[in-house]
Amino acid sequence: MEQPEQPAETPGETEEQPPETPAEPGSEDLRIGVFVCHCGTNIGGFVDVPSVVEYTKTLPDVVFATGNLYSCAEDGLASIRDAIKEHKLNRVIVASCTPRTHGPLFQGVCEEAGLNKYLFEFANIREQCSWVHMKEKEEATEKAKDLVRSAVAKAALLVPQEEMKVDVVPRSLVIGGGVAGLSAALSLAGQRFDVHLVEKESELGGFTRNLNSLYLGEKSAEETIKPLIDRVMSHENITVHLNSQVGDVSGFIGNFDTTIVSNGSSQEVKVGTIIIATGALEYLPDGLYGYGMYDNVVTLTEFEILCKSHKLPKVNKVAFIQCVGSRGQDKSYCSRICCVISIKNALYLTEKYAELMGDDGAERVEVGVSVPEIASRRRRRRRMAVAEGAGAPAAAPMGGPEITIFNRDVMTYGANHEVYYNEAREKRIRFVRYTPENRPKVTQEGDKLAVTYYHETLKTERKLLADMVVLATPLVAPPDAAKLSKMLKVPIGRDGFFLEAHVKLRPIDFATDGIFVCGTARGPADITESVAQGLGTASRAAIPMARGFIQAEAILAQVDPQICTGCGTCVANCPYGAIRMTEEGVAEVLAAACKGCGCCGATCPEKAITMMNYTDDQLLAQGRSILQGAL
Amino acid sequence: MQEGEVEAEQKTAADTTFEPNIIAFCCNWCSYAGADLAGVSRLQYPPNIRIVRVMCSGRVEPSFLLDALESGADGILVTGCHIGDCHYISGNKKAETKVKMVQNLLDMLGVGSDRLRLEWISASEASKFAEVMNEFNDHITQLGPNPLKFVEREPPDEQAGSPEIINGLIQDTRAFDCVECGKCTSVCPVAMVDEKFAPRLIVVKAQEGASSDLAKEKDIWTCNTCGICSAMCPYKVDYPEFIRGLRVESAMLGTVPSCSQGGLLQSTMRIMANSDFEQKRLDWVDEDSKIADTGDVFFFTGCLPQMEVIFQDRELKMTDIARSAVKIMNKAGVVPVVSNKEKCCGHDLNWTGDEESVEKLMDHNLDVIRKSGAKTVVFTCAECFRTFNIDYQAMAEEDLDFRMLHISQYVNELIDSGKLKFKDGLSRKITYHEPCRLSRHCGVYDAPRDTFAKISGIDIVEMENIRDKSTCCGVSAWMNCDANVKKSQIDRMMEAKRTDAEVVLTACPKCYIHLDCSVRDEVPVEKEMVDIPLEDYTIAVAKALED
Repeated sequence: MEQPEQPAETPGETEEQPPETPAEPGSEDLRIGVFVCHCGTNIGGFVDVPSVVEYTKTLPDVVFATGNLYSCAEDGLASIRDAIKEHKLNRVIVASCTPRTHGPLFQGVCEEAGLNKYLFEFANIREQCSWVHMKEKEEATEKAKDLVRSAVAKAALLVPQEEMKVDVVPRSLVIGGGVAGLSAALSLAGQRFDVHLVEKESELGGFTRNLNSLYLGEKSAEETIKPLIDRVMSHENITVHLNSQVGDVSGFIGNFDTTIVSNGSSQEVKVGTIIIATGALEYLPDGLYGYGMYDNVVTLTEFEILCKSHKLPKVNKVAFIQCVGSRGQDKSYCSRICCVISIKNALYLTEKYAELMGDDGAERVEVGVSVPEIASRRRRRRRMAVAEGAGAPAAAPMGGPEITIFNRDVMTYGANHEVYYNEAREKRIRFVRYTPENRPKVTQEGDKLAVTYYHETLKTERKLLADMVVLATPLVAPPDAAKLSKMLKVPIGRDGFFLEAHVKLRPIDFATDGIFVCGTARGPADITESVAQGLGTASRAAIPMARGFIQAEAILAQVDPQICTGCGTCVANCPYGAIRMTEEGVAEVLAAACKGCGCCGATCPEKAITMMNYTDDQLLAQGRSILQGAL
Repeated sequence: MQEGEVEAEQKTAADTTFEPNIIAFCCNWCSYAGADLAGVSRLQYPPNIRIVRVMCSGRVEPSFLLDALESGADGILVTGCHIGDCHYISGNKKAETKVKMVQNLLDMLGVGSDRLRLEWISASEASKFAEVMNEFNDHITQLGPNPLKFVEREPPDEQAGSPEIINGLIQDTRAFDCVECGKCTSVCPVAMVDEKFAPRLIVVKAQEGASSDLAKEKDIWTCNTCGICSAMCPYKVDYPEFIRGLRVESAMLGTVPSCSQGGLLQSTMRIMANSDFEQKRLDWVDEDSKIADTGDVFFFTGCLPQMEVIFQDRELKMTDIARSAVKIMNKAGVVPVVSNKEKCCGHDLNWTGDEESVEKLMDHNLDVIRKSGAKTVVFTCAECFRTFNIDYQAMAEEDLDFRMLHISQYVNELIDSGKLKFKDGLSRKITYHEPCRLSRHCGVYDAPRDTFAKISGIDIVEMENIRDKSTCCGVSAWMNCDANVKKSQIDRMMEAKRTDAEVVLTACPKCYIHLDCSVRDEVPVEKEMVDIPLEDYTIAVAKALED
């Protein structure tokens, strides 16, 4: 616990000065005003508000206490405003609902009356008292008194705080030149912000460059990405750094100092916001299903590359195996996009078979004849489609490939994706389910690959002789994500992807202000999603840059350099990288980056850190006061 | 206060009327919001639960939790966001580490970890919030009232620090003899790094009656009572005792010193002083350690088990010292008494002005030792050694009828009587850091050095400043660690490194902890300049024993 700072002992000087308002804690001039709200009958119906008011008047330093019918109504607010002036209140407590909804309102009233808003304290006697103790009115009243008393104890120790305004540099750093990063960069540049786009490869485009066809839309991957790259390369507001990496980042929202390292030379760039669009890699399933052992066992992406470069060997029977290395086989998560990608490739192979194979497409075998259930379902669906006027389904091209997709369950999420699944079924692509206990096995048999699998419906082991096996493996986080995460002090999740602040409410933000994430850097996503996220991060990043400044809350950590030993415990404990070591070897808080969580203060062995508005003294006083009478 | 009386009455009444006092630290973003939603949903839970809002559960310090217990809480909840959902990324994980540490500590103290609970409650889990509150309230009701026998914090004693008392102290400690020569200031390790600090000034101020406002006198807490000043003083003013006396008065005026870890260690000691629980402090005793309930030799382990828990994140194997001590004694055919009933000696409370608790601890410890029938008590901790030898001796109304030996003295006895044999072919170059409590306070300078003179193959190289001039580990009684302290610690470690020894030995676990802390993370000099491992004397001796 800190001892209160004493002014220098120069008699005659300190005593003559009139006390400044608001009074410092510990001085004789505390004037605390308490407003106890009835909230109609919400509080008044269960808590004896007049008795709480009378009790409050007996508390030390309380010079004014009153009840309000509705404190948050205009007349209630006016009465607080007037009382602050009339009774020269320098600490204000409202005992009513919750600071989470009404804190800013009452703080605003204090400010209107000329009182620093950090001299306001809340006692939550509705959500955490009257509403939860409706059957115990006496006890609820006693608890309300305890809560008010502890608020008074804390309020007596409050000190005014100043909020800090920090300018925001209207420039953004986009890390990663894939489809997400390109979209983000273009959007920001279109809003006339400077953008520095850093790409570690020698050309832009990212993972999309590997891809062949895309689902949804007619364009190929190349036709989609090429215009984006061209626009980025020629945009006057975008500086593209190829063969480059981010070497170092320090600072905080509005003022990040970054170093971009290109071919051994480095360049300092000051930016206001940072967008992470570093993408993902394809998992390589070494040792699974004969990958690495047999030539014709390839991954999905390798399959696309083969198609794209017209190097696909003559194949007729192709087996896709889903969930390879994901969902518990190695990685725990579902990569979510591979189902629809496998279907896309199966359809592509079916549709472009003649083209891909030249004229030598082998004789096609009827699919599913040995499985009457499937055959009958197909027929029924075809009949239904005809009945609904959807036209006859495209007949499987003669001599087309025979494709089987081994899956655990097909997840074609998204409104339009189920269409592909249906289409695949129409085109007689087989879907065979397996369970993780009975995974298919791939072995070589002559010049074919034998896929041995247990058919869950037939309850028998079966064998498929395939020309090629395509393994659908998950997207995995690149190994250097961890390095970037450390550099930027933003978290990565269990699976190595960047972890957003909140999966639903803040899906492309980090808890650290000014840094955003989009595309596959935050987890498997398809191109549509990556573009949407890229545009989303551009919008989020544009907000502080367009406003030009940010207002930092005053609930901050403060280091006493006289006490700090420079041990670095706080630096290691700060989730935001908001503490750094000065040249003198003591810790220093970067106010704009500090979020006020208090983890540093709670860990500092020397108690050199004070958490403003939540000091040790304040919290201990509050806790002890709340327990008063417990001994 | 009237309601206080009412509640006190309730507690002494039949169990059925017991309503626990529960304090819940809720993080602003998840669990406090969950509590709000419970209100909005009108989910009912017992009214004896009071919430303190913090921004993040990671803000809740271990010391807050013990403080709540000391303030009479029957149950304590810490609630935060679910793991992975923390508004501050990972504050809740930090809270988890802290709470688990305190739970371990409570188990060890015998308070029981089940009075403290950690729960993850999201902003949407109103029903979980109410369930947890109901369930925890039932649980605490079953456990019964907080068993700590704490007395209400006394209001400041206005009589404390009166001129009469200060004058008495000046007489007792010979401060009266001070001739203002200033030798004390010139050798003071604190003054060396903090030019504003001067021991001479404190004495002179007291003599002149100028320190009437003791409650505001910071310097009396900054002094680390190492006693170099007294050793140098031509008139032998008992400076440490003088400072200790001023601290007692200052504490009675309501001064709370700035304690490391927020006073967690002092809380732990007060809890031991004010309770009579079945502790669990012997977990360190492994199957190789032979110990007894009664016997001639009592091994006083001190705070080693608690420190191991409190500094778990630093992975200090403090109880290795205790195991080593038992191993040494076992090798010599001695089965020492090691008691689960032993409590803290009270050293740190004694030096932060809380004599009342020290007396309680002393009564208890002396009782435990007498019941063991021991004629010799052995200490591995220099602070325990000093507290027994000087403070207990002074406070006890009768003479202590057992010998008190530091482990080094006892080891020397065992070697001299031929009971300990050491490995052949040892080759170790060590240097020795003098604990102030052992050397200047109690006059034991040579015993640890003698041990190594008796063990062939272990050579001791001395640092520049030894014996009366040896600078110290920087902190005593877990107080006032700051930038200046670090400077002197680093100086000491550099001194040790300059000897070219392979290890620096200490004979006090506190020296070990503090010096370890000073070089653990960031150091203001080149890392190589302080790069020398630390080891406790007892461990070094045990390692050298013949297998």
